[in-house]
Amino acid sequence: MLGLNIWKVQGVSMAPLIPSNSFILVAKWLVIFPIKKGQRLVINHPKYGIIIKTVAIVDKNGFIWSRGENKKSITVEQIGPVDKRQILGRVISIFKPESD
Amino acid sequence: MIYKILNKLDCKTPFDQVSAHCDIPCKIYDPISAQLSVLTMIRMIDLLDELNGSKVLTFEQQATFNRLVSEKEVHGTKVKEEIRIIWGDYFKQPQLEIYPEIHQLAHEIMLVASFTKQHIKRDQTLVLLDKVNQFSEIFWRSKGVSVYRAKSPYPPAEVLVYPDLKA
Repeated sequence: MLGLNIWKVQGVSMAPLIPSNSFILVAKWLVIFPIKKGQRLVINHPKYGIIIKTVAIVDKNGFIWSRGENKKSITVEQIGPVDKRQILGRVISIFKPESD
Repeated sequence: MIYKILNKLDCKTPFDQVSAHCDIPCKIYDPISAQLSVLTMIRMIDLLDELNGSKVLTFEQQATFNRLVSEKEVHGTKVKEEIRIIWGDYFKQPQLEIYPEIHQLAHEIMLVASFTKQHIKRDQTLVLLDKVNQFSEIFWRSKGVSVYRAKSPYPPAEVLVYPDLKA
């Protein structure tokens, strides 16, 4: 609906910003705009499946390198570069379990 | 408030899930997966050997042949993966000082596992099993756990190193 989707987050690599079991509101259409460092993206990754990560850098070839938000995350190198076509959307809202 | 509503909705109609994938050092290591994978390779070779008796393979046998070869190779890759993880993630300086031979052994396992993936050679797969057993023995000893050897109670009934966890 309106290019918006709600996803449930499983895993701790984005904690404390996005703890496990949080819900995120994701806008698919926002990816038509340039991807920038620090944005949180939902990525369809060939090895790890559908993951949520923070953009670490966009290289000169336009590939997006991403990272988790804590030390337990797999590294930027492990995730590797992804193409913009693999981006399923950009996170615009986070609903954490403890926000009640 | 919004979270509670979303959570209730999720209970009734689950949302799609996205993984915040992590590589947590969980400390759960056990070479038994590698050992069982080698046993599987040996078993696949035994079953392939049974097919080898037929001069011409029927359509059904050809499908079986493909499955057996494929499984043998999949488990060969698994052996390499399991050993690499234990060697790379579990063995650290304190263990390496006591068991410096683990590097050579892990490398030999990689080579023999590749060879046994490429060929249907039971004797070489037994060599692989022996090396993986040695690896397992060092692993358990490094944790202060004694080991014993026993035949696996299922085909191909080859000897495995098991940890004596009751000792």
